[in-house]
Amino acid sequence: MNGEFIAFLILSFTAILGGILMLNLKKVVHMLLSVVLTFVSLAGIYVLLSAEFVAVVQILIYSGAVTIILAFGIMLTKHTARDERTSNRLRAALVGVGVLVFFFTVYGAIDNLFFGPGAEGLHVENTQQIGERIFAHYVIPFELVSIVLLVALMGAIVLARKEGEENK
Amino acid sequence: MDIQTLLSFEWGMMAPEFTILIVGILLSLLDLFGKDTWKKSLPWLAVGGVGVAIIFLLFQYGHGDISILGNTYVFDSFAFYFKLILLIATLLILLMVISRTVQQEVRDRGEYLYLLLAALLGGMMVASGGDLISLFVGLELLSLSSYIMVGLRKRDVRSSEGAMKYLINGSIATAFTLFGMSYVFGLTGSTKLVDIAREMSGSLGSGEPVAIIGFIIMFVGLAFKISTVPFHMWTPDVYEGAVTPVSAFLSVVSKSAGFIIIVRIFWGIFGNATFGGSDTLFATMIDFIAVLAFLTMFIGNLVALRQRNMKRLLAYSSIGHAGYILIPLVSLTPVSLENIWFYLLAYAFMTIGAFMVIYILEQQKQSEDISIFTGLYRESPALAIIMTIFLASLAGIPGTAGFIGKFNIFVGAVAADPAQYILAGTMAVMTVVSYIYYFNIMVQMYIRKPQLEGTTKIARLQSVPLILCVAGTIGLGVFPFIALNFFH
Amino acid sequence: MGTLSLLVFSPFIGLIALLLAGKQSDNITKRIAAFSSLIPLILSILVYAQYQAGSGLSEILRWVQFEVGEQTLTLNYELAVDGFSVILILLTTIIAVLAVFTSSWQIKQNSHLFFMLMFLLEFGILGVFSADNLILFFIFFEITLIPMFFLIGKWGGTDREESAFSYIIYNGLGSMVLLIAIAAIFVTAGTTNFSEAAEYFRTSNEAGLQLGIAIAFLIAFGVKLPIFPLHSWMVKVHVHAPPALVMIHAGVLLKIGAYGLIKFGVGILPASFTTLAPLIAILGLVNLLYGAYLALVQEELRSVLAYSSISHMGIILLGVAALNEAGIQGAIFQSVSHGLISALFFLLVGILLVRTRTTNLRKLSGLARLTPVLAGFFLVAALAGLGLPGMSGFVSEFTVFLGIFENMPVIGAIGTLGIIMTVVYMLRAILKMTYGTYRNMFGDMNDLGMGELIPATILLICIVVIGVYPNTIALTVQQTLETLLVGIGG
Repeated sequence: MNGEFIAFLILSFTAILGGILMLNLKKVVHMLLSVVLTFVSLAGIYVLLSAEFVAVVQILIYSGAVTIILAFGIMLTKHTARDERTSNRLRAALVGVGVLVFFFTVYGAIDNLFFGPGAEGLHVENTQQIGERIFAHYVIPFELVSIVLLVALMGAIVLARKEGEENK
Repeated sequence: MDIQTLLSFEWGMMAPEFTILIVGILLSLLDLFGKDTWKKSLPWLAVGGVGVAIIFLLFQYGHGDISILGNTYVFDSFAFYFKLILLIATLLILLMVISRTVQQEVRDRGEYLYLLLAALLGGMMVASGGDLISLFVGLELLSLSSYIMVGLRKRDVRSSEGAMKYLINGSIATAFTLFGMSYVFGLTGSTKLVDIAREMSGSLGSGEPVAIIGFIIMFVGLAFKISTVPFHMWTPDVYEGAVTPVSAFLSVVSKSAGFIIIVRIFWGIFGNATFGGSDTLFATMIDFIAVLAFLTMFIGNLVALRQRNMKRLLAYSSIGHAGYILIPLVSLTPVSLENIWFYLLAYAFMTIGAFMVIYILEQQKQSEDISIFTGLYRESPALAIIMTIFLASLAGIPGTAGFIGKFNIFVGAVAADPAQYILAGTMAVMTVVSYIYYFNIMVQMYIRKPQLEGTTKIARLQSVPLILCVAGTIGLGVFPFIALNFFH
Repeated sequence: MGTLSLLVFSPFIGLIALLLAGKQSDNITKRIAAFSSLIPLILSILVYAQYQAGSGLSEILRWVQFEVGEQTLTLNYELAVDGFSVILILLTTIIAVLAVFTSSWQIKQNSHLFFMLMFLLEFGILGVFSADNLILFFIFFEITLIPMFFLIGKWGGTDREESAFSYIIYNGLGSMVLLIAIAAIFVTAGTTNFSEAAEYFRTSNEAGLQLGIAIAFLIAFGVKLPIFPLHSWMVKVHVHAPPALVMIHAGVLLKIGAYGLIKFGVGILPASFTTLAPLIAILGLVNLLYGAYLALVQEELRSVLAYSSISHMGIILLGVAALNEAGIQGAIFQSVSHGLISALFFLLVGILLVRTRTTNLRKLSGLARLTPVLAGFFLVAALAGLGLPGMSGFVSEFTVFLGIFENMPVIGAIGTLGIIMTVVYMLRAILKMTYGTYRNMFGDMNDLGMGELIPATILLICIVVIGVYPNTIALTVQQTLETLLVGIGG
């Protein structure tokens, strides 16, 4: 057991904790904060995987931008601050069993898995490598992503615009 | 990679995609800045764009396989034939949009059009993707555009409900797909389908369980797109909530894209992976898909019996059809791909045709209940006969494309090794079950008397997609060899 | 385009003529329909003559090709006739003409659509009997479903929609079973042409598969025939469909079952059918006795006739089970003879219904007093049905029993019970109608008019001619029979 493993354990535990809290907390703002916890822990895992660029992006975009937009969303919309929900014990138990079964299946599958030697030099000029891959090799899907964004933007406008406004 | 290498690719092969992209962007710009008088002809621009893309594509008939930028875009015969279905289906749906007579339903015709084109572009990229990343991004483009299109009918609560359900279910499915892909990537260290297939073609050793988990999770995620049971729950609500052309789009183009990506990934990757020393991994997982196919045919057709809303009925019937198309996927004969292709083509014509008839009636009678068909033969014999043709084709009556499609699937299932008699038998029984609800509509049209005396007229524009769909349905039914020879 | 194609597509002349004429007055529509129904009849006589003259009628056109691995599966548009089918074609066109003529006074509304569907139905039936490969056969077989569905559902009696759905479900299931069997033949033999498939299965030794296909055939054609537990739809159709349609239905459509069993079952898979013969014999016996017993207790004339049909179809099954010359010849005879007799019966039922609006045996009595000719025809039809010597029914039943006694004497002995029951139920039903006191429930009734007398007489003449001189059929089917016997013997 080395330091990397301990760090992974802690980070993944907090990531899962964030998810569970998000589902179980009652105040919307608290939920938001627990999501941030998950986002940040994920960024930590990225660092462990020598993907510093992705980690930074994760913190900037998710923990930063997305969370703030969510906060704005909560502020600007009418909200009963508390989310009332009925809990179904049976369903919760079933979900729990499902999660456990899934966990042990996957654990059993990857327990003996041998990947071969790990890749070398991943951390070397991380950002440049990613840039080169995206803008040369993956340029087609990358451009396609821009259309996905465009569609999302237009969709947001179309759906948010009130019916009456366009008759002006 | 320098500019020389970049220019050395045959970018011309992407002409159909570029056409759709340019027309889509042009449409959105014209819609924003154009004069109001232009806006009326915007739909024709979209139709023209799709038409040009079809022509570009047809010029590529028989062209050798090429790949651009390390397989992120590939052109092969598979991509060619399936893109043709997507383009033809979208063309018919655009014609359907144009034919609209009642204006208040969705005001934003512009958005509607470029969302359709964006979704089509996503579908085409799925057909041409040789890399998990392009496949995934293409699928997301298709899905995202679809979510928005479903929500376009803003005045209707059902539309918002459908869009919400579609979005949530779709996101979960996306997560599943991506999760499964990550396992496959972890096992092979590549996103390129060719490389993955090569890595997997040997014995997987300790990686076998991971490969199986990746297989199942990815299939579950993609099964959502083709709405197989038990991942079908969203379908009826979404079809009911969306505007009818969008329902037709989801039912035909989106579903075809789902099948395309499934065939691409699962035959491409797992068809090569050896499992347990002898069989391919795909062959060992056939039972899994066979069970899904069985459930899909069974539940889709049985639940359809109880539907009165026409769009829900067609939704369940489309679930049943998805089950039929899964059979050639399972049978794994040399004709399987041909069978899937032919069935999807036939399915496109008959389903869009049926939706078109519903669309016409829905606009005139402001209802989607099955009673819009009551006494239709009195009101408009032509429309009743046309609908009968589509229903006969959906039911698989000889003389129509649906029959040839089903017959091909039967032959494939029996010819498979081992022969899939159980699936063929289920399909046979469920076809008879489907007779009940299809013929029930015919009973409404011919035998029942109309509640209100009146005539239903078909406008000139409305007749265009109808005639094309009838021609496709009957043409493929009587001269199937035209399409089948074209495929070879 | 050969004569056969011309014949098969000739009903379209009537259909298109009606379509072009549009919605005319009833009289014009009926006249157009009546005249164009004669065209297939004339062509079928031509085909019959050509067949007798020995000229080749078969046609072939390339249609679809599948490539499964190295195997190429070819699907052609090919038509041909043999002795059996040529007779059934003739039967079809004759009954179709009579049905069109009689429906002109039975069908009051939408006669335009009615006749178009009738022609579509005739097209399907003619195609079924002319097809020379299984897939083409199946296609025409399915085409008959749609017009039948609408004809029952739109112009039928009280439970018309239910009967129509029951029709489509049972027959749909039957045809789907048939389709799987055909696909299996297509894949293993690489062809669906009758003679080629028969040739293939003669030499191949896939006994299990062959038996499976044979059972599928038995189920598929058993629905159509119908064989005992699959018969409920047929009773409904007999009772609730318009009588003119039942003429075609009982007269010809049910015979597709017999045709299929003999031509495909015995013709393509003789070995498996030899294995199945005891089962078929028992099914035939059950049909014969069960139908006869239920016919005894019915209070509705049309139900009596429906169960009588089931009973008579049992005789066909017995003939098939005998698997010898007399048995199969008898089965063929019985198909034709029963076709003519039930057509005559339902012609008379149609005539009666116009006058009384009911065929309930409790309400009818003493018809002989008021309408002696109609009553006389009923009696003659009943006599033909119970197999009186000199009528076609006698010849066919006699030959079938000749065949079955040769191979399975016990079954034959029990079967004769059915014949006795036939006499009882036929006479019970008809005598109850014709004799007894006449209660003036239906007002004044005219006896048969000219337009009713002629069709009835034509059918009666056919029945008597076959009864007195069976060689009319025997000579025509001789060659077909020999081919079949070679298969069984080999």
